[in-house]
Amino acid sequence: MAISLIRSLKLQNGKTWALDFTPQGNKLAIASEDHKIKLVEIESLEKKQFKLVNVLDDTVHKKAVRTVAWRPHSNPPCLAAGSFDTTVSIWSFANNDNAIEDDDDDDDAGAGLEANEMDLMAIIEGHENEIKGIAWSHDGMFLATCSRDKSVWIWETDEMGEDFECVSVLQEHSQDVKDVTWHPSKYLLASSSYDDSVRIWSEFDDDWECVAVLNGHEGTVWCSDFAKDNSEETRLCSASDDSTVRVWKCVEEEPDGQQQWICESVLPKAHERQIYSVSWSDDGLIASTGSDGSIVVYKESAPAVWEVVETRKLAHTVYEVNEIKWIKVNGRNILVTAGDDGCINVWDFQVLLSQ
Amino acid sequence: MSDYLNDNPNVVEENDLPSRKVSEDDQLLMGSVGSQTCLKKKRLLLKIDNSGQSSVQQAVELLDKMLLLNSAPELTSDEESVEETDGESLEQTNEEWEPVDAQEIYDLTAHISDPEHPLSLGQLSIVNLEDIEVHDDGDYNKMAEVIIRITPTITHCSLATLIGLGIRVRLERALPPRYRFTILLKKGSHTSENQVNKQLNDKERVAAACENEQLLGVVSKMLSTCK
Amino acid sequence: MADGANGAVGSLVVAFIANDTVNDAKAQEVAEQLAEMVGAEAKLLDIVLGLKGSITSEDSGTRRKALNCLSSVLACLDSDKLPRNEIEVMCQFYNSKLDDELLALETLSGFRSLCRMVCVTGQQVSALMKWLTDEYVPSRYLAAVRFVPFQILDGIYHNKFKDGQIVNGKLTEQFVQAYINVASGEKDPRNLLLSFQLNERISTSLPAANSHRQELFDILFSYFPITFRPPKNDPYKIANVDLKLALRSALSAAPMFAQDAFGNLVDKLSASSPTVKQDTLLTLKRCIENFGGQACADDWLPIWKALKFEVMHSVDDNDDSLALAKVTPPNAQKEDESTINNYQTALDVIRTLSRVLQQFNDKVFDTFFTHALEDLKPNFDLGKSLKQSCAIFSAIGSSNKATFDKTIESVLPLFLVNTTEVPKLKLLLMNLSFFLGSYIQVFGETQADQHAVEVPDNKLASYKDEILMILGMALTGNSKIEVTVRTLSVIQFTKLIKMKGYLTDEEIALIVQYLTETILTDNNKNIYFACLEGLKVISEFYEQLVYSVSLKQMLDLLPNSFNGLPEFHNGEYITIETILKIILDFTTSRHILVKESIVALCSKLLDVVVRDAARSSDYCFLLLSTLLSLYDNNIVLMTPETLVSIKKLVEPVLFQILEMKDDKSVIGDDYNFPLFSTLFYFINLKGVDDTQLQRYTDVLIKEYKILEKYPCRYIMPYVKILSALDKTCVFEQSGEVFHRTVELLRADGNIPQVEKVGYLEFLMVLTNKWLSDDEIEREMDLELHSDINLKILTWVGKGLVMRSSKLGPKILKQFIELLSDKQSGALVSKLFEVFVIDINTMKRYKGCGTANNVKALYKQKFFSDIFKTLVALYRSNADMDIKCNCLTALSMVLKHTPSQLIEPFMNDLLPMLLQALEMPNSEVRVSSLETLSDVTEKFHQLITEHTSTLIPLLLKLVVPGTHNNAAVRLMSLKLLEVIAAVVPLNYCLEFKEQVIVGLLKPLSDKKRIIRKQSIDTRQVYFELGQVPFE
Repeated sequence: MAISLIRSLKLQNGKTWALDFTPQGNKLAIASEDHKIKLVEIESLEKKQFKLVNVLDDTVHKKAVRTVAWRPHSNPPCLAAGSFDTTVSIWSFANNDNAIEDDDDDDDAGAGLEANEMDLMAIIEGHENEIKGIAWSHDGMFLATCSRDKSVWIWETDEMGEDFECVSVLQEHSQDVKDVTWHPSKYLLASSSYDDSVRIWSEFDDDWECVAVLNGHEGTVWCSDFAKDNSEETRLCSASDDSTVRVWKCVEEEPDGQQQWICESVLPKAHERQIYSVSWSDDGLIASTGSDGSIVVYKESAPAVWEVVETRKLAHTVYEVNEIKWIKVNGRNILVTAGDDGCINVWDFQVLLSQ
Repeated sequence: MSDYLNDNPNVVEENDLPSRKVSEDDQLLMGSVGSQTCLKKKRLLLKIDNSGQSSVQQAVELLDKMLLLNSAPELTSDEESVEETDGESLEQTNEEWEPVDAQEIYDLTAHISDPEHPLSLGQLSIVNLEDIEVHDDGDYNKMAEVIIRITPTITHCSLATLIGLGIRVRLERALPPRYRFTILLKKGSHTSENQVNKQLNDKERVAAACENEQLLGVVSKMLSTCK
Repeated sequence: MADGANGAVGSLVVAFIANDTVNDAKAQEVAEQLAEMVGAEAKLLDIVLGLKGSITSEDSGTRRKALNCLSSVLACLDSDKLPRNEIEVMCQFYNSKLDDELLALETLSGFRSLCRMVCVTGQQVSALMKWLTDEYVPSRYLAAVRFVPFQILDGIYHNKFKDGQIVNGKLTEQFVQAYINVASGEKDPRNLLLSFQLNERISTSLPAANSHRQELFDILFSYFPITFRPPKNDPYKIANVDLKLALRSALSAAPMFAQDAFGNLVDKLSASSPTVKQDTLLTLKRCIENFGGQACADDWLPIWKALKFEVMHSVDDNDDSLALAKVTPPNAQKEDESTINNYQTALDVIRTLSRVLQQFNDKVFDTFFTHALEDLKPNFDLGKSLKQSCAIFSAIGSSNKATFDKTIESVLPLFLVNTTEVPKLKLLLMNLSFFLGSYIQVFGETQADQHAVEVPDNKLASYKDEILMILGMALTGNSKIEVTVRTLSVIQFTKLIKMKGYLTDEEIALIVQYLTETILTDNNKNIYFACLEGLKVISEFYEQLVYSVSLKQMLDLLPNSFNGLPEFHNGEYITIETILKIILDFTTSRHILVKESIVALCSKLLDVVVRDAARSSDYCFLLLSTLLSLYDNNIVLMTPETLVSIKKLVEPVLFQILEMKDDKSVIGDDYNFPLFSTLFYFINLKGVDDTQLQRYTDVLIKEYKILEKYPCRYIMPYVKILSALDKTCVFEQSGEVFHRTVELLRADGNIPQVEKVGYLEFLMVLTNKWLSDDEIEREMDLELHSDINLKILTWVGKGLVMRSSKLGPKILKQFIELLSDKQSGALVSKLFEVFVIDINTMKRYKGCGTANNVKALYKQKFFSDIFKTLVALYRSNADMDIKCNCLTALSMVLKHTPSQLIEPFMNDLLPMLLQALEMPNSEVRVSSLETLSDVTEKFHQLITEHTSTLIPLLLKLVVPGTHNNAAVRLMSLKLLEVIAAVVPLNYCLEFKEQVIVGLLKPLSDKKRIIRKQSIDTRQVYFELGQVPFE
């Protein structure tokens, strides 16, 4: 196994905060400190060809863009971005060229740029402080947003993503909510918070309520991610300031909707400092990164037994790394990271299945 | 106002703050080129006359120049040296490394002025030399760490966070990116120690704070007294 | 009467009326002509007759003009011109006009003139004043009209009441009443000014005033505090201060105002505006001074209360307790009128009050003082507001001897108790300082050369021993950490010295001893400077004493051999450097001290050389440096006599040292020997004559054989002597000597460096002072390009250049050509520095101007001579080496050329400087950076145009590299900082991010100062466009 750098893309001097890729896995959206949202197209992984295809209107957000998320099953693709300026912006491709699946045979830059024009569809306001995380539900019906104002808001939206209706404001967290993430197939939402807890939310007779609180971390929980395997069990991994990654499992659903969760395992300690991001691949690998700049990949060698399979130090030289995500490109899992050095690094990760 | 400023027992006078003595000499010698003997002499000279421009010093420099000049080769030496390698890796220079130590961090932070007094953090003993830890092996490809424990003037001092922010901004501007900072309130120095500590070391909050114009204004006022 | 006259009057009258308001100048002229005739060929009546028609005319305009005519004539008449009867007629005439309001101005001006007439009678005046009192309603008239009644009163006053010849009380009574009516409700500044003056005259000289005290005062005080902004084009140019002062002096004019004045002013003191406070305080002071003892005796209590409050609750703007960090003694407040300092003013008023009271009578003062004491005593027990309390008492005490004694004997005991608690001691010293201040105020400050003057014995005298004891304890009894206390004590000691006639010589000696001990053994900056200040002050008055007690001791402390270890001196280590530094710092411009130091250090040098030559090179260097600095700092002040007297003592010693040919630490040391030689220069400055020259020549050339085939470094002292020599001295052998030297240099290629430098400089001096151009041309060989010959040429060239000889350019031309020469180019480029480098022994000291042939503007000439050619050569050549040579040569020259000389060439120069930054040679880069920094600070505009090129270049130089030595890096960083300061924001901003990123690497520089500078520079750019939050 090895983590090898495919390509490092320097986008600006300030921090790159976050990234997300289109369901087709061919376009990256990047959120950065310089108030801008940038689009990078993966032209060819083999040829290591990447292109900065667009920088969205940087007058829309008055402060750093903290988080981005592509809407699933949306045609044309639609992007949401959350900023420290307390607003969320919704973008959609101008024309339907992009509706076509990813047969990217036309490498014509002009057309490419043309094709990558995005229109601002909506600005969502409501939060009192900086937006810190946003996430779309698996079917693109709901958008969840969270903020330093300690609340999580759930918005219901239409096909075009033009108007958003706030269906619920969830305020149980006692501190900033750092991140929200949806279950890959259910209306199940996990929120990570500065209050050291993760909360699980679910719709119960068309009202949203907290069905579980996951306590155990001894510091801010920065990020969480649901397991993507289609097995019946529901699992979640979470990354924290206490420099641990934990895996949680839902063991029981009570009739009143409440759920019992347990901390199934604490992954082997491989980070020296805060862990800012964690991602669970569809083939069951967990990758984490953070302040110490290392990328660590874990594998479940036996049920609930995890081992570190690979560590890559100085992933963004001496800078901190803010986010890591698995992308599937042409059926192949690769890693993408966003760092304080203003770079997006794309990593190849070989798994010898024999192991 | 009723009594002398100096009465306030916990104010240290500027000149009494711990400092690195030799530095100013070097400061004066820095600009000068010349032989080792010349530098040595000038160092001696500074001990009896720290104006750095006494006629004697000129005389010594002059002489040094003449001596070097009369033995021409050395001076022209670096023309022969290989093509421009400026900006290459830092290791290549044969100067010896003066490590970043607690004193250096202290000098960076001690002169930040307190947001509510006209005094510096050093004078108010909010920042103290002995409460600074530096872990750095000087390897440019390794991370290094600085830990500062600050002592707010009053245990409920609401400005602790602001002070901490000031220090963090100062350090982030002053030290290379390989450094990680941990700013903590000294044990028992503050009623809500943990909240403050958590805030001061929350990257996201600091980043957001640094986009707040008004806050940034306050900070830049605090930093304006840095030496 | 003559018709002629009549007719003449008639026509003139017509003429006046015609010109009135049309051409006032002409009208005035006519009026004067008429006045001429009055009393001569015509009578005033004739004019009235002449006016008869118009004066009764229906048309008010005509009436006005007519009356104006009459009044104008009256105005032109001398005061003795009109006889009683005519005045009577006129008065009646004008009286009849009084109710014609349209004519008010003319009528009143008529009266104005009549009232100054000698013969005007009491009744006439009193009638008018009656009218002014009963009929006149000021508010009905314009300011210009209202002005006249004031003038009338003024006139009457001068005419009737001046110099106390007051006739009847009734008249003055009416006068006062008239004034009161006239002055009430006045607003116009010009009128007010006059009104105030009148008021003052009345209150001071008219008995009648007393019964109208209240009204008179109210009229004044209703304006207090007066504030008005003069209109732009105010014809009378009345400023706010004029009114302020006039009002102040009126208010404080007469004791009869005392009660009202004091009462009201005390109330006004509560005003919040500092300017009002200031005005009130000053007025109060004036009142206290003018109303005299009795008044104050009656009213001091409320005044005292108010003032005390003022002091206790206001801030001293130039607060000394803060100044302690800097070492200015606490009593040093600059009295600056422009800045309002109510704290000080209030104290000043207290001082005045106590003076007045005391002078009035001791009893009253005692009651006042006892009261004050009762008031403030608690502060001393509680340790509250001590500063203010002491300030107050010291103010009281500094009025005069009496108050001083009183204060001292009752207040000092309150706090003057020896204590070991540092904070208490600190306060004690600060408090004491106030009263030492009072002493100086009362008895004056010590003057040079008239100390030991008798001062009346005073109460402070009895505390002397205690004070000395406490200060001594504070200084010696505390650990060094107690900087503040010790500094304070030193400052007070110094103050004691300043107190005229307070200390005996023994006591002064004691203090000198204290300070010496301290300065030697304490290396804290504050204390060091405090002591230094002290020693300087004392040396001003007691130089001899300072020598015997302090300097001598320090000199004796210097060891005879240098074992690297500092000297041990009653329990304290003292480094040689410290001693020498102190000597240098405090002897400056004190003849005795300087002389003694020089003599002593020289013999010390000898001792050291004799004892252990081997390891003392550094020690000798320090001694030599000190000696030279002593000369250099004081040479201008030293009289030829002093210099000669020093020379007598020193020269033999120097020669003794010269004798020790195989000594290593001075004679054998390449750095020390030149310095040593320079001593010969200084001892000979001002006053060496031909005979001396001969003597030296004999000794050095004959005995030491400095020109025989073996080069000898003793050439150096000889060179220095010659440099000191007046150029007018005759030097026959000069030519021959020159020749021999050239031979000697050419003969032996590898002369040791120092010697070589010596001989080359020798040639330079000879060329500069004695040899003629053709003598030189005979000796020179421009074609020979051996290293040594090039150097000979350079130095001779320097000699020529300095005296702007026409031979100079020849050599320069040759040199510039050589820059493109493959072999010698590099060397020559360096040699260019020699032409302009400053050699101390060739510089002009005041009072020894004629020593050398150095033209004031030679550098300017030199620069313009070479610059164009250099630039041309640079541009015409593609070869990098040659280009580099040009830039090197240029930068070598620039290093020593003041930038204002360079200015005219800037436009050509700047681009070259920028390219020099990329030359593969750190020294070139350094000198280019030096010039650029200079340029940047002086020519903002110019540099602004180049920022876009300069900044990226600099960012290349801030990172380590073969040619980016520490100096290059540091200077580039500094320059970047300066740029941000001088270049307009809008230009810098676009580079903000680039610089911030570019300075990331320097943050990890190996050298600490460079890191430091990167941080500072980076910070500056972070703050660009950032507004600090207030």
